[in-house]
Amino acid sequence: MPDPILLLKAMALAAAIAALAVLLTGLPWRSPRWGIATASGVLGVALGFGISSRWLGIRATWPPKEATDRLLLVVLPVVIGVELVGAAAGKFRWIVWLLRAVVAAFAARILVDKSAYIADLSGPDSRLWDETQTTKILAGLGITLALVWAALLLQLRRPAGRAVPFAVAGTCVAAGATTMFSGYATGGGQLGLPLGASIVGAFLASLLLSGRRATGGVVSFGVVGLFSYLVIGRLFAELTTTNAALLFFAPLLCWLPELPLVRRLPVWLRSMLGILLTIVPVAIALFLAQQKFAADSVKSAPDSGELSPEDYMNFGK
Amino acid sequence: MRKRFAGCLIAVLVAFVGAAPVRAADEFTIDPVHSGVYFKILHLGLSNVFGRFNEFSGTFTIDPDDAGKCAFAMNIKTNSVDTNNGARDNHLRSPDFFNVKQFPAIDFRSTSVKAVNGGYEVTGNLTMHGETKPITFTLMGGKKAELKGVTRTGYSTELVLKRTDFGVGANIPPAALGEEVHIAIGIEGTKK
Repeated sequence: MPDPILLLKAMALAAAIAALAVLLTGLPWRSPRWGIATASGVLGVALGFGISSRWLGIRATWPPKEATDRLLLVVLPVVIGVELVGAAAGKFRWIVWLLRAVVAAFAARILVDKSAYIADLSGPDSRLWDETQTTKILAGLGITLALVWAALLLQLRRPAGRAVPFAVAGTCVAAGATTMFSGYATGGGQLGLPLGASIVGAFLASLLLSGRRATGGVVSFGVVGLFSYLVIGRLFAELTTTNAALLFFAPLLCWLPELPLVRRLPVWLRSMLGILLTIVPVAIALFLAQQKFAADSVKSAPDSGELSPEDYMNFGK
Repeated sequence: MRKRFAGCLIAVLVAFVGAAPVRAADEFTIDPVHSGVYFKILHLGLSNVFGRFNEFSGTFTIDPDDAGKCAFAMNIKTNSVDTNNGARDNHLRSPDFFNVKQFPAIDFRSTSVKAVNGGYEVTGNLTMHGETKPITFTLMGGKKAELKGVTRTGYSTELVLKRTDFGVGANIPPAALGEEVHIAIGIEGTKK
């Protein structure tokens, strides 16, 4: 595991930059227009995430060689662009939903580009997915992302929707730790944690501003980041399908307090309930990943006893 | 008369040259059972961690009379990395290091070969982790043996690469994991 103190500093930096960016763009107006608030939110979270990741030493190469390069240099910038278009679209806001659908359709395809899954890298017919499998898997992933993204944005509009950014942020942080247990230390700890922290920073800052909260862009950035991150962990590291699914669907539990029987509860209680419910699958995923890591370690080195992640991932300072 | 003599002489020379034993280059396939690709790398500046790649293949051509016609090619499956610890091997397969689903192979193709005392100096392109760099190393060996009617020959080499030249473990600081990777390769080939 990378230095925990360094990671905490990076998270604080991400949250502070995101919050500052939101406050700077929002303060002159005090009651910022919806478009400006949305733009400041998405730019804030992107800045916080980008600067803190760079501060942690994460470098993306251009042209992109790996899935993480494509996440940082293609997928997330496209999401920022889409949300900015949405912020500027005014009454033509349906355009942003169309663009989000396009992003959902192609995000996974971009991430697996030139990989052993879809390219014959080890000789003729060596690709891991044939044409039919590729179509089914990528379509399934695209539809899943679109549905979860839409469901979370719709929940965000409801009174208890303030739970959504916290749920997405917390899941990003947990996804970072889970991916780290799944054999991807730098991508795990060093991307998921700043992503979660920047979402929290941007959202909290948006609460300080008067006027209408507009955190759709923040949540969009987080959801696509989380999705991409889990796809990379599942396909390029050792993240299990169960853990990836538990983590990706966890924020959807924010919808449960909207069920008829509990809908009468106060908004703050429903928000809190949404966050607590999200924690359950996230904690299960973390536990399963830690157990698998420990089992793999003991299996390979029985005389060493139960090894900790630090044995392999903390490369010493 | 003189023309006829000259014609006969040329015919004899041509026949002589044609009949001279020209040794063709021999092609060999790497026998994975009797070959190995091993590496060691300094951990925390304390001691070396050792590992190997269990799956590889390759061919080489040896022309004893003309080193320029020799050629070496090898392909190593990155997924087969083995350091005798499952968790560490998974980590090595991840995007932190080899990223085996993106870069499933390490590939070497020679571009020039020079004869040296006891072997060959081989220069070629090494592609690893999506980066191609020229490298040069000395292959020692070349003795031949017959086993069950098959001609075998073998070579070995040791070389040092900088992992960061290829972007392997780019985010892992050198103080924690050595920059230099010491590689030992032994290849035994069976004649085609």
